[in-house]
Amino acid sequence: MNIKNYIYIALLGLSLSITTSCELADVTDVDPVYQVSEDKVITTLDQAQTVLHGTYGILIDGLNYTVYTPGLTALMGTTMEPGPWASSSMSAFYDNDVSPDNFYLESNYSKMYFLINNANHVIDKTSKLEGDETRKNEIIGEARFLRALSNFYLLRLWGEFYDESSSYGIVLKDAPISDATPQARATVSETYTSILSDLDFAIQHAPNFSNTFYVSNLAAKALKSKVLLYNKSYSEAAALALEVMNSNDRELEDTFAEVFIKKIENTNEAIFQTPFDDLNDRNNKAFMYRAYFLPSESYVATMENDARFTGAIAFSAGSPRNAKFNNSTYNGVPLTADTEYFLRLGEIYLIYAEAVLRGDDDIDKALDALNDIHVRDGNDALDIDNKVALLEAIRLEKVLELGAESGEEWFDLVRYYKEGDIDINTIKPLSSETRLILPIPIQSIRLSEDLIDQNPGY
Amino acid sequence: MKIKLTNAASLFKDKHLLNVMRAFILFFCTLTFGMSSEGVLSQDAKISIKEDKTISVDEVFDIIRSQTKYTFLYQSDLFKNFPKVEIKKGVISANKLLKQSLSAGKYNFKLSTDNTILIEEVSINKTLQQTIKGKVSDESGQPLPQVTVYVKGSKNGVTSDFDGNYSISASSGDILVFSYVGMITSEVEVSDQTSIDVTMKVDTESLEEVVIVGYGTQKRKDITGSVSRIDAAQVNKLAPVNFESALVGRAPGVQVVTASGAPGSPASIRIRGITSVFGNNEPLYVIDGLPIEIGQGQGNSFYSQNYSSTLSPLSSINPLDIESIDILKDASATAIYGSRGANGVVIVTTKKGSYSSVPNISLSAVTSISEFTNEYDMLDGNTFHEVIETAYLNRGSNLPSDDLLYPYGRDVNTDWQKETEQSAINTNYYLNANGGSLNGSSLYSLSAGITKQNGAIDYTEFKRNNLRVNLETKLSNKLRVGVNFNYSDSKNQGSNTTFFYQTIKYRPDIPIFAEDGTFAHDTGSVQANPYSKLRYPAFVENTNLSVSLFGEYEIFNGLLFKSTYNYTTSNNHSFRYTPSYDVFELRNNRKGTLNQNDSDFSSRIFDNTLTFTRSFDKHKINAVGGISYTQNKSNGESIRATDFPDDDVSVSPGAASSLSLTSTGTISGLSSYFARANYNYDDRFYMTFTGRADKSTKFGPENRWGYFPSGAIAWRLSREAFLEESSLVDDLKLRASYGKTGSANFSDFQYATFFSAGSFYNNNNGVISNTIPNPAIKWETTNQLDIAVDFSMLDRRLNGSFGYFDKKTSDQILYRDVILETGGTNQFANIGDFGNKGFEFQLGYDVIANEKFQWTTEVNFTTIKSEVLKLNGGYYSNLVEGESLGYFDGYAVEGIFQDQSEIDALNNASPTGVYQSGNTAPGDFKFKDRNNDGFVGSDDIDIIGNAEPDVFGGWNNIIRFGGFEISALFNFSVGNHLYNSNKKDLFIFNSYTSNYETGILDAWTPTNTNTDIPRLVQGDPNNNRRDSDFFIEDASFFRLKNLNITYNLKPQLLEKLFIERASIFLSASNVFTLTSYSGLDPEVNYNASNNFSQGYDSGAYPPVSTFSLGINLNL
Repeated sequence: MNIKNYIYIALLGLSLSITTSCELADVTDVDPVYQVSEDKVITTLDQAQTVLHGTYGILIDGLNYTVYTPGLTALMGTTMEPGPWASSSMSAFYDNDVSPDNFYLESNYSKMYFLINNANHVIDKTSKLEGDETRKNEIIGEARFLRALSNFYLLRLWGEFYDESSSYGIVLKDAPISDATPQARATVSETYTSILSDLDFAIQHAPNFSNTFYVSNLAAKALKSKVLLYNKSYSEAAALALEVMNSNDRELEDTFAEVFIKKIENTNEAIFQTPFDDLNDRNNKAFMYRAYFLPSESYVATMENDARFTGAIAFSAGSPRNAKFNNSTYNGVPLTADTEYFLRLGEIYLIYAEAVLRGDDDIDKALDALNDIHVRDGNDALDIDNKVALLEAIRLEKVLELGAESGEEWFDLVRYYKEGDIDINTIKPLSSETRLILPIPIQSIRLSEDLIDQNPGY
Repeated sequence: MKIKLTNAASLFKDKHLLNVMRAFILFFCTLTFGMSSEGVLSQDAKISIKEDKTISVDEVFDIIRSQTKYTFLYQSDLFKNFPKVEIKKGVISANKLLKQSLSAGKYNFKLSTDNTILIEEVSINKTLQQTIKGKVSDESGQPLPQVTVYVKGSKNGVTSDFDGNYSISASSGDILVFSYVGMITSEVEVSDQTSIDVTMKVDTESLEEVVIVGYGTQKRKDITGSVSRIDAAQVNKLAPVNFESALVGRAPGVQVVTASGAPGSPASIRIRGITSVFGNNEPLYVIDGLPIEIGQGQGNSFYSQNYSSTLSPLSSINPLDIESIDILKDASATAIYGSRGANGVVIVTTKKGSYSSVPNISLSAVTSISEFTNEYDMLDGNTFHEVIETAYLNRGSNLPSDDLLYPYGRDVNTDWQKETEQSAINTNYYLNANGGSLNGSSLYSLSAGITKQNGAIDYTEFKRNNLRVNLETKLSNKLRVGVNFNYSDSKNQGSNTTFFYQTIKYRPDIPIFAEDGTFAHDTGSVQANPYSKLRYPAFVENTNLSVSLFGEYEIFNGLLFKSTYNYTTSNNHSFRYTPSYDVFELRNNRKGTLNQNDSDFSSRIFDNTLTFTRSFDKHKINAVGGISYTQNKSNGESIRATDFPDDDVSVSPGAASSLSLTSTGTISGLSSYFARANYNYDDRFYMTFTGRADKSTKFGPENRWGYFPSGAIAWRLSREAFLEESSLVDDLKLRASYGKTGSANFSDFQYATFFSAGSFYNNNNGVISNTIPNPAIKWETTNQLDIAVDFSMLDRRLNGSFGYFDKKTSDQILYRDVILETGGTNQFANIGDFGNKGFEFQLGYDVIANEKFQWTTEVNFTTIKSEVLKLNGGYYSNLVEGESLGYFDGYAVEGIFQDQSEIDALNNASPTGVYQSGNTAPGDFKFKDRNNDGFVGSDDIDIIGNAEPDVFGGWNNIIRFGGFEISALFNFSVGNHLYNSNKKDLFIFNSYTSNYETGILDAWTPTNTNTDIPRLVQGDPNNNRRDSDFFIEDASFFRLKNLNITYNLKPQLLEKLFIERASIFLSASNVFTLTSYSGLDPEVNYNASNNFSQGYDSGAYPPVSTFSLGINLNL
């Protein structure tokens, strides 16, 4: 080989390396592994469905929706007390004295906004898709329900939900975030408007009821009747609750205990609840309700005279346990996983009873609805003919029926107190009126540089 | 001339024979071994003689040929007039017979591979080649081994042996060339003489070692930056399994701490301190030009997560394959690695071929035995129960029931330490062949190694097999190509799952086996007993393959283009099985649990460089510019499988009844342009400019490119007139550099919103968004100033370097809170400032240097002060402005309460009515009320120690005399603290569920008041175990890290064995330690992967002492 050949080979090699280097040089033009960028995540309805499933998944991830929010709310009320493992930041809820830097306060608050942000991705990106309008609106409807549910939780815990004229609503996020820019709080009325508009869309577009794990237009009606009760639109609330009660999709279980034995299998009563299984959806709720959140002494005492006692309270080595969430089985495998009932028909009856009484002054209808629940396990029917006593009976019935479950009785205390029906301090003494709601986490106040107002008294 | 062939001679006519013979001679020159008649035939070749007689030499050859496999080739009249030989009846070795027969003359013998022996008369008058012997030495008379000696213009060459002796065939008139690195090549013409001794002179121009810098090499004397070169031979004196652990004490500014005593355990290396909070702070490794980031450059959390399921890429390298290690420390040296250079760069170069036509074959075999440097003396069963009884009595509480306290009876006593130890025997075999053509056109090095290291704990083991090939050849005068290939497979068994502290703390009153033959266990606990636990299958397997191809083309004299493509792949498989009979499995109704992890990593690197060298008059310029593309990918699958049909054959994910699986993956790309220019004026003034631009997938859209410039200047004062004639100073250089490097050691794609799967709901795998993006995310910037003086004095007997560095890292990544309405709580942001300052000192002195005895001593030490300068609102862990990263905090113990009145007085004075705890009693610790508010609360927690040493370093000594070489390496560390967590668990009583050290018998009692061990009390009501300075100990130490005695066997002995050189060595590591530290060993870093638990001694796997016996042979 002579020198020319070498030069030829070298040039060939060089040109080859230059052409291949074009491919090699693109080393920084890559997409992350097992991750999808924002512009590609929802380009079809199937993808929208996948992100919607992910958004549902936030309901069961990290125990915020299934354990901490219901458990801590029940601590604030009367039906639960801190268990042996509970930390001081949990007991603070029991003492109704939660500081703005409380760990669980931050965790629940940010988790709900995390769900809202993902729901906003679904709503925003799905609405831009072409295709089957019905399916598209079903997906958006489900996402808007989930957003409404979270906003309602946020409002009840951190906003002055009992005062339509208050400026202490919540921060309303209606689009996906692209950075960490702070945003001011909406008023209470604006918050209700947003929640109700989401629920109206869901009532109109969400799928018909077929499964308790997914949002249905029935669930949207049920939640809306509850929101309207809080918003004091009593007649409307009663009308909507009645629609749910009269729907053929759901009916009361034969006994109270059956609700918590069936949990998620062949349930008649649940309207919207979280699933669990022995694999990926395996939470630890039953354990948490033994170690951190126990039925309170007063709640156990209250239940003792009721036919629902054995369905609500179990005993282990003489100590009371919450029988509603006390071990489960899945395909025959014993588990400590459990469900969270966001909405079940039993509660809708009691919403109806209160709403029809407050809105329409209809004592008979209210008493009938109340007795439907009260006598189910063999209690004698109640016979009350004055409104004030009946209202109180409904509140007590909610303790008996829904106690140590999701903390509903705490919000009842606040609402009844604000309506002037009861003195909350005789039932759950508070250091101050400002303790009716929780403080906005300090991190948001600090980083917003006071754009976000702290609740009074914190 | 006639030729006599004892075989088939008649087939050839004379003329042809001559040609054949010439061809043979040429053939033999390349393939034969020159030798004397004493050793020509194999030792077992015996000749039997039937009767005494006198015969001719030709007849002797016939006898030997008829009785052995040898044939002879010689000129037919060579022995014509030779004296007859008397032989006697009996058996004689062929060698001896040959020697006797030819004793009257002088002949050369050559044995070819087919057992043909060529015999020539040694005669100066012949045109045939003669054997030239001689000795090569340096100016001081020291013999020079490994000098290449060759006949100019031929392919005939040899190297000198250990004593500088060589032997080569050459003809009168030939020119012998002697060449040796760092010496002036000398040429000698061969005349009549048969012995030529040569004295070689030091080449002051090439002084001297060449150091390897990024994308090139430089002469040591011309270096403007801080580069430490470590001789691989020194590293290998420790007989290390991983080379990085053997860098201890070798270079200033480089702190090396081995993670543990587990087999195959990696070491953590900090070059001039820590620069990053989320990064892992290990240096960038460059193995034969191939950059390797520990933890794949994905940050500390990724590194920690994968720490126990993968093996370090460095563990795939056999230390014996290494030729040299160069450590780049300052910005001038590291800036060419841009966004990966901030933690320093360790350049490892493996063995290449040599310019020697004779293959250099080396073989080494090492056997070692290891044992723990120290052990705990644990309580036996009876004493254990006595301690428990006292503790319950002191608390005033009832003893636990008998079935908890004596589950297997009162008399059981198991020494778990003894039951789980093994005598750890390690073996290491290594074979290397290297060589090349004399003109340097082709070089090769081939090697293979087998390493097996047993741990001091039973069932722990590290095994590795290596193959490495480096080949290069010239295709033309201008084009050179080569390939490097490296393969290794390793297996680490048990050491990631076997924890010493679990073993020693296991209750002594539990037997190994229960009565029914199953493994016994503490009935109150879910921990299986250590003896059974060791036997659970747990291992990590790794295979590593790296191939690179390069071409180098000289465009014109002084301009060189080089292109390299490299592909590396590394697979890790980790397997951890908990059998169905494990207590925890039984408790959970599971029939076995398997945790299996498979991950693979691949890297493609395409480098192109242009190197330009030119000198004119007194100016010299050397410049390199290049483009580099890197793409790294990784994929991983973790499987957790439960419920298996049996514990033996069917343990695989497919056999499990239930599975859960997670997948992970990363990809990152880096495009870079870089350049370096060196200017040298008259070897007097130097300037270096370096720069790199990196575009990385880790940088956000607002910071796509990172630029990393640096500059350095140096002035060699010794070249100035006023010093040039100095008899004291041989070399003196002042140098200074300043520059910028980066660290982008965090996960990719932090700058945008991405969605990923894993949000399950009702068995649907949904997709959700990740954390809060930060579009401004970028590298961490380190600006470093370096000032140093290098000197060489007293005829180069005293060499040293003294330097100062100041490293400031800004844009350090920390957590920054984000507003909670984003759905997250924090994000990464470049906001912190961090500093490292210090001095480095290195001094070497040839204390004694004469022909009989040499002693060289070298000491280095480093001081570093690190400090968090500014957090700017960022946070992570317990970072505090003004402190270093490595501090410990806790309470201060003021002593032990001796009487109740003292406690009462404090309680009464406290605003809360309690001083430190409601149940404090005499014998408990008294904690200090630092803020004087009358009680001990969390406000009284303060800094109680620092894991960073004030000074660390090494002191190495090499002594040579006769055939002996003794080296002793000491290393030391002063002022660092360790958190001795075993002290908490072994010396302070808490519960009956774990064992204690016998030291607990010295606990405080009303009659034993002069002690620092608090009283025995069940439940520890005073919380004596809270983090306090009682557990923080000064871990300063001075240790004989390694003692190595090597004996080089005499060449005369070896010649008969066809061995060129041979040595035997004895090596001992961690021989003795001077320390006040009360734990097992002060030199540990169990949590190497975590920047915040440096200096934490958990006793996971204590260090070992190793004693090795090895042999090195060179054929």
